[in-house]
Amino acid sequence: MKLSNFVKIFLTTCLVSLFIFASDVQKESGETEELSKIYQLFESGEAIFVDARSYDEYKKLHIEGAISIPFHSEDKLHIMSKMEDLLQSVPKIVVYCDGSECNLSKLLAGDLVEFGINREKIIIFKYGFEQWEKANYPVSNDTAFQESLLN
Amino acid sequence: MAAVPKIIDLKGFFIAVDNYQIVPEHFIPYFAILLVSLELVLGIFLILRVYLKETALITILLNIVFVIALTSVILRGIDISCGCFSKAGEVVSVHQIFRDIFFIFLASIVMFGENKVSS
Repeated sequence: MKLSNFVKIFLTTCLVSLFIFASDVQKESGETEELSKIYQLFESGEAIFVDARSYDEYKKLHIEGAISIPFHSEDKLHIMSKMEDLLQSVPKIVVYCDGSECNLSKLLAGDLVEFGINREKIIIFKYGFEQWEKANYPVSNDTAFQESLLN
Repeated sequence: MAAVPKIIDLKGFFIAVDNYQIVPEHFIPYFAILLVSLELVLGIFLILRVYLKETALITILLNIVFVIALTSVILRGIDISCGCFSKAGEVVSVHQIFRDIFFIFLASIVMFGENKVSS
């Protein structure tokens, strides 16, 4: 066994990783929209916003009109079933979490697709709640809409 | 070639990795991509018999890591999809641990086996 062979295997793995990473980023760039485009969607009323953060964070403050499907919730599937009609009927679904460093929105988007929501209508809001709040766009702590959907 | 379905549905694989609750959330995409790349490289190198012994050793180590991860999931009572060969279906069970041990055994045969091929 030679150390140089281990190094070659490692370097090949890194190269393959870079290639996969680059193609994944390219694939995602089409579905990851900028803040202004997301706001246009919000204004048009065409999209429902889905908060992937914990319910406590959602309760504190969320994008106005957003619904909560916490990615780490054990009841996630139950919540999605309760909201299925709404999710199926809206033309666009914008999924968000904290900000560009968080992955919950991407992970929840995957769950939604697995649940049967058309992949084409799901948009990942890359910059998340952090940027939305910074831009002074409408936020709320009203959970009445969420509760009405779950009851 | 367990890596192929994972590369085709990377998001599904990210979810599978996240379900194990071992890797911090921020690192999941990087860790998952590195893992799937390593699996792909090892698979191809084993088929092509490139750096055979070194590849076999890394395969053994990787499968030991898988056994540890699977055991920890079972011990913590987390009921999740394995994410082993595809994202759906296979729920984590002792069966996957035995399968990985079998892979370790096969890779050991390659590692300690005949020494005709060298790279």
